[in-house]
Amino acid sequence: MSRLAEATFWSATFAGGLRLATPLIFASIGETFAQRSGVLNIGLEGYMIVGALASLYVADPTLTPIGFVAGGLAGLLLSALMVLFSIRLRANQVVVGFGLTILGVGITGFIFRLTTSVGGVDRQVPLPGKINIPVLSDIPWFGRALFLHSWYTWFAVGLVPVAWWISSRTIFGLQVRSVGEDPDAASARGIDVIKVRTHATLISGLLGGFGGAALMLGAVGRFQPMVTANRGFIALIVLIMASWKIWGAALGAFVFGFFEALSINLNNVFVDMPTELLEAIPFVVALAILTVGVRWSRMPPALGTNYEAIK
Amino acid sequence: MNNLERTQMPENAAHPKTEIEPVKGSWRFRFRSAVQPSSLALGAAVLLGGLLLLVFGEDPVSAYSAMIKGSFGSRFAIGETLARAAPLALVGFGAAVALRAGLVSIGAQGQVMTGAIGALLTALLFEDAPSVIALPAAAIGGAVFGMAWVLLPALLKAYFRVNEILSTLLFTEFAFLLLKFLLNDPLKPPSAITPQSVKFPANASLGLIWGGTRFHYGVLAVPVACLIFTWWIRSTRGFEYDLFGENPSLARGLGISDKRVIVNSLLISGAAAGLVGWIQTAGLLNRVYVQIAAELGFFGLVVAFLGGARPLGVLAGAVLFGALQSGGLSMQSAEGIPASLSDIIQAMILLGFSVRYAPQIADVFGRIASRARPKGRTVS
Amino acid sequence: MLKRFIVILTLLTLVASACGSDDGGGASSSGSSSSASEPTATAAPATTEAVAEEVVAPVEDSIKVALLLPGVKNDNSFSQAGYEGLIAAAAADGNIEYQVIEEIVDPTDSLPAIRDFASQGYDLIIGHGIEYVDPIQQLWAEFPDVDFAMAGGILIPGSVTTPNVADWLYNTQDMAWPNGVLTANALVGDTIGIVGGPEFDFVKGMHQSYRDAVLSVNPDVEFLEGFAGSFIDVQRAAEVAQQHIDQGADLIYCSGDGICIGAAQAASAAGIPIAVGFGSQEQAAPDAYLSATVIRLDGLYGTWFDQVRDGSFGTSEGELTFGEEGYAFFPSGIFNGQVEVMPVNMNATVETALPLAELQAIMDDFVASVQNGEFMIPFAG
Repeated sequence: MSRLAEATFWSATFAGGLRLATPLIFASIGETFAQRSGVLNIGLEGYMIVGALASLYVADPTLTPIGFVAGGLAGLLLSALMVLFSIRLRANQVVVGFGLTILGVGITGFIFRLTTSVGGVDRQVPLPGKINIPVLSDIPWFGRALFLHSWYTWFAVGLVPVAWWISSRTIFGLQVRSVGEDPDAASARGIDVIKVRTHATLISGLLGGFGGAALMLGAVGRFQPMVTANRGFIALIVLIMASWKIWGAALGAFVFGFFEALSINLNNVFVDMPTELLEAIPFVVALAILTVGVRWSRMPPALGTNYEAIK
Repeated sequence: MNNLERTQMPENAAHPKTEIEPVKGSWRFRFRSAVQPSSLALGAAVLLGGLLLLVFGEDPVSAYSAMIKGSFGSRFAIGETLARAAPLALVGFGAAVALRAGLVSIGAQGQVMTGAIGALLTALLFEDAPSVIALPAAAIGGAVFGMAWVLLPALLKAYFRVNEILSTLLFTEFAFLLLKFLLNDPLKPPSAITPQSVKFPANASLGLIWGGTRFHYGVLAVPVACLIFTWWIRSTRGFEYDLFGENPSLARGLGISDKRVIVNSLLISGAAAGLVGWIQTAGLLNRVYVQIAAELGFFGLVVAFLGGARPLGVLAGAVLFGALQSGGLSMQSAEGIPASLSDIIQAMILLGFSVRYAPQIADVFGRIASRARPKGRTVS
Repeated sequence: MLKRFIVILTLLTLVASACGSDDGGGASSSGSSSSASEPTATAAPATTEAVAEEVVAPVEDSIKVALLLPGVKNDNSFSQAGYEGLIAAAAADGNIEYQVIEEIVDPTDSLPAIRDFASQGYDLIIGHGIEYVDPIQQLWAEFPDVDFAMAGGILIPGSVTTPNVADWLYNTQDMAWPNGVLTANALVGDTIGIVGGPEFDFVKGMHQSYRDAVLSVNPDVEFLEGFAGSFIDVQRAAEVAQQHIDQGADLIYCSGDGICIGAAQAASAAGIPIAVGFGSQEQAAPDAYLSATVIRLDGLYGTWFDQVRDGSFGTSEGELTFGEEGYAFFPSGIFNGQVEVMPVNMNATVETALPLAELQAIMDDFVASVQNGEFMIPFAG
């Protein structure tokens, strides 16, 4: 129990929360765009895992930043299928999203299998060094936790205000919100609903791919089948806490990561407690936030519905 | 087609329909809108999959023949296909009830897990009772636990408008953790070193219909559920729920309580998923494992979507995916084709089928069909 | 109706066999050695069993072996150990046809897969994992001519060993104890961080064995312990290791499977040593990786192949006997080479309490003392 009083316990947990949250921040921000436009992207897990594989396979012979971009593009490519099937052909969003998840997991598992020989050398990247912000990271108590992170985390954090600005201060953001609110009215105002939704979905594919790439290049370093371990679905759960707002998504991802890191560390405090109970903590927190926050949160009314342009 | 489109637009007013459709309910309509595009979608997916196999040095013909053999080629294979189709169909019927009321619950996965736990616990409680009591008790236990797991998301949806898709996803995580916990300790046989439950008590087990296969009596729950579902669609209550799914404000105007519709239809879907947990445990596996739900919950929902939330559609979809899964396995064991490749082929078939319900494509097929048979009856 | 269906199906398979022989040059990438007499090509579906009997091995004494793996064969860990065992044993034998099926964990899938193999005329079916105990228990009676091998079945009550079922036991303490001895001697500092996969009993047993071993050398060591919760969540495993490091761990022990990749990288980044319970992580962290234990199954598989040929298969090979004072006899272990202690990584650059060569000498002595019976590794459960 005495561990709980130690500063290192909390600063380590906090830093771990940010690390665990990094892929989730990318994925949930992207998903926020898609859902605000009315597209329910269940295929996030698929985008993330193709992003993870592509980033590694490009980064190994070249450079990690190139791999990171490639991861995003792979996610974008898979989300183009979502655009084709769900937005253009108006197939059901949940079915297509689920299909894309199976497809992503299958394709990556298959490519990994083909390209890796038993006992051979696997593709691998070294984990990134931490970027030290000189004075700030020396602050006692929380300096290291807040200001000593890899550039993936900084990129994720830096993305949040940009995404917020796009979502709430640009015409595109307004269009995204309006087609998720009332596509017919938006269309009547001359907004091309299909086009806006296409762009929003592609953004979510790109960011989902970035999320997978950040997980692979920033935290894992080598591919395994199902390496994303359902984090795409967790990003969807984060969205419930987020009330479909960019800041909410980022904060929700961090809250989730923080409590996940806490559940890891509490294992040394409550030694006899079953890990399942500790693992449940972040989900319980999500449920609590969901129940309390539900009064202020408003789902995009057109979420999950397909739109047919009237000619 | 109609049902499906309706489920996709729960709250906001549907945009006007502009499609020209043949008379609904006529066989020609059904053929044109269901069978024809389905087989084309299936054909396209099979071709693409074959191409993929060819590219990676596998022989597509022998791969597919292994697949067909593994799904329908022997008594065992047929039993296997049916035993795999049964849980998909049951989840599908439950999900279809919710879909018709405009609700998409993707939490069947978790409800299958809790249903299995519930069935096992009840069976253990009635371990000394005669089968006549223990067997139905286990079934009820499964259904009740399945319902319990959807109750909170249902109430959240009914009273606070919390999106049921996301909240049921969250509850699936809880179910999984609960299952892991129970199988790691309280329900585990003392000497087992990996998580699994004790054996399902024999007095509550479902026997085999065909010895030497896995075609067990639990599969008979499917025709029963199918009849109930058919009756439900035609009943007044079912009509009310349909109406709510189609036009909630009209339904409210007619005095239909939306809270009741939401809670009840989700509870029905939870009960169906719970029953799946029961038949998988009492009939197929005789134990609860961590993987008890496999991906039944997700595929069950997919089957409900692809089957247009109609009884026969759900049945057909369940048999198709049951066959795909048992055949996909044979492809691995007979031809050494990796699991991930058979996953890819399944995903492509799934995507192909999703397009079969895409109105635009159906339109094109409709036009082709009416051009080919200009005498075809169409009503504008 | 059914008849017509079978006729169509037969025609289809005939066509299949015709086409199959045309472009049958496609090399199978799965490591399977498919022979021309593969039943799928010629069998009409309704007569599978009959054909299966016809598939007599072309060469005298050649046997067909199927191996089921819970993971992929190149997972650097448990599944790879099974696969490499099969390849090595088959190469040594020279007369083995084999088929490997990967990623089959779900019990709904494993039973039909095993049954498929049994009715295709395989002589020996090896289920490399505890997942396959129940399905094999359900099938052995139906296929008396097929031999089955499983892992850890004896530990499940009600399971039986019959003339056509053999059992192999996973020896957790032999997998963990050597790492404990090594790391206790290598540790600079006083805290060891333990990273595990899911909190299964055998994982906890490994951790207990490891801790006991460390404490037997150095009673003052403190431990931090964390679990990734599964065998797939590599990011969480890496985070567990990172949390331990941030809270002062001076050495990492990872009991897991492929999940240790991230833990090894984290240890490498922090400049502290890591030892692995299951498969080398030398590639992931050449500077920090010290040593690992691996299982070597080729000897056992070779014995099984011989037993299948001479009909002595399924004797009391796999019995777990409890000796005095809680020591258990496992049929597999360091003593017969089925658990191998990997040599200390001489390229490691992290700081260790003793020089690497000295550590290697300690480990050599330890392995020798186990093999000549001087030291019995205690049973941790």
